[in-house]
Amino acid sequence: MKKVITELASIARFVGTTIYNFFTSFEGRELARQCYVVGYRSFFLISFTAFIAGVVFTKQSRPSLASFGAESWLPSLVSQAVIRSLGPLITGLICAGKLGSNIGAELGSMRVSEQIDAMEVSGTRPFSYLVVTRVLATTLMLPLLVVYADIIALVGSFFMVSMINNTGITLFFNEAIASITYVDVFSSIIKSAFFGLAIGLVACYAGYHTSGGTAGVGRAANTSVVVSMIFIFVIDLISLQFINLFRQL
Amino acid sequence: MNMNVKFPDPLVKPAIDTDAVVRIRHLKKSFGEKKVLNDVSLDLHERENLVIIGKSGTGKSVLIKCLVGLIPSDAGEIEVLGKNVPQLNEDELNELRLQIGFSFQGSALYDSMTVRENLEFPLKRNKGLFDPHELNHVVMEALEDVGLAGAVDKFPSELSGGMKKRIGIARTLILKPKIMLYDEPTAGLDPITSAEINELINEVRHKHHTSSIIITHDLSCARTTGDRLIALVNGVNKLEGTFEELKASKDPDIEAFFNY
Repeated sequence: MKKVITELASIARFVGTTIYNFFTSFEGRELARQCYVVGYRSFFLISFTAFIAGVVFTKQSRPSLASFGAESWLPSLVSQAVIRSLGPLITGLICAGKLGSNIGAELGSMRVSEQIDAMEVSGTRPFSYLVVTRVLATTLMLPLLVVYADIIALVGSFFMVSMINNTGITLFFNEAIASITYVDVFSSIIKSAFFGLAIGLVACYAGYHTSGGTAGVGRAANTSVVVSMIFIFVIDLISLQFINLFRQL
Repeated sequence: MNMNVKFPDPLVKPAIDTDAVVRIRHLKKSFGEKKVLNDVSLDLHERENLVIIGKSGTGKSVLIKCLVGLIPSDAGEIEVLGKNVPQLNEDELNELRLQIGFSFQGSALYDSMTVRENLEFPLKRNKGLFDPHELNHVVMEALEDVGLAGAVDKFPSELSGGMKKRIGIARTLILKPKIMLYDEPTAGLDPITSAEINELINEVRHKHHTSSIIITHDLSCARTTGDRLIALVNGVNKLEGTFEELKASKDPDIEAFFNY
C-alpha cells in the first residue's frame, strides 16, 4: 500500500513539475527539434494507415447505405466518422505505439547508462531539456497529425467512392465538409492534444524512472505503449460525454 | 566543526583541516533494509587525490553520488566547497555542480550526439556559449588535453572504452571544475589503457589544480593516482593512509583486498 501511495505521489509530482515547466522553462531549439522528430517519425505510418482506414471504412459502409437508398450520404457519414472519432483514435493509437515506445526506450536507456545522471551533475537541468520538450512536442504535434490524418482518410474515402460511383472530387468534398460543424473540428483537435499530452507524460515518466538495466528499458517501452493506449480510450470516452453535453446546449 | 569522528584503526589520521574542499561527517545511506553507508566520515583537501578503495557493493559509488546530490543521504553532513549539500535547493545545487566534474564508470556520453556536441552541450546549457568559433576553440582545447582531438566528429559508438573514458573526462573538464570525482576510471580497460587513464588523472590535477576523489578497486590505479587512500568496508571507512600504509595493514579485510 505504501509503495502504491509513493508511486502515485511520484506520478503527481512528475505531472505537476512538467506542466509547471511548460510555462517557466522554455527550450525553444530542443522543442523545435522534438516537434520535427515527432512529426517525421509518425508521418509515413499515419499517411498509410489513414488512407487505408478511409478506403476500408467507405467500402464497408457503402452496402448498408445502399440498402436504404442513401448512398449519397456516404461522404457525410465518412467525414463525420473520420473527424469525430476515427482520425483522432487511429492517430492517437499509432503515436502511442510509435512515439510512446520510442520515448520510453530512449529515456530509459539514457537513465540506465547514466546519461541523465551525467546531465544532472553538470547542472544542465535534464528534466526541462528531455521531458518537458518531449511532452510539449507530442501535445502540440498530435492535433496537427490528426488534421493531416483526417484529410488523408477523406482522400482515401474519395478514392474508393470515385472508383465505384465515378463521383467528382468537388461534389465529394462539398458533401463531406457541409456535414462537419465547428464543434466537430475543435473537439477533435482538443481531444487529440490531450492524447498527445497523455502519450508524452506516460512515456517520459516510464523512461525517466527506468531502473533494472536493459530489462528495465524494455519494460519502460512496453509500459509507455500499453498505458498510453488505455489513456487514449479513457480520454476518448470522457471527451465524448463532454462533447455530447456541449451539443445539447 | 565536528571533532568527534571515530576511526577504528590507529593508522587512520583524521585530517580535519581548514583547507578541506569536501567534508563528510557520519554519512549514512540505506536502500530499504540494506545499509550501504554506515557512518562514513572523510575530508578531501585542496589539490589532493583521495582514493577510496573497497570491494564491489561497499557503497563507494553511492558515496560520491551523495556528494553531488544525485542520491539523497539519510543522515550526516556533506559539505562541498563550504556548502551544505543536503540543504541546498535545486538552483543552488546546480550552481555547486558546475564546480564538480563527475566521470562516470560507463563514461555516460550522450550517444545521440557526436563528441563535439557532447562537449558543447554543457557549455551551451550552462555558460550560454553559442559562438561557433569560441565553442570550437574550447572543445578542441579540451580534446587536446586528453589527446583525442581527432575524434571530434565521431559518435560514442565509434569509440573504444578508453577513448570514451577520456572524452568523458574532457566533457567534465570543459566547465573548469574545482573538484573531480572519478567513478571506477579504469574499470573494464586493459592494463595499458588503464595506465594511460591513471596518467591522465594525474595530469588533470597538475594542469587544472583540481582536488579529486577516485573510486576504484584497481590497486594499480590506487597506487598511481592516490596521495591518500581510504578503505571502505561494509559502508564504514575502516582505514586511511598512504598506499604503503594500507598495504602493510594487518586488518583481515584490508589484507585480503591487497593480497588477492
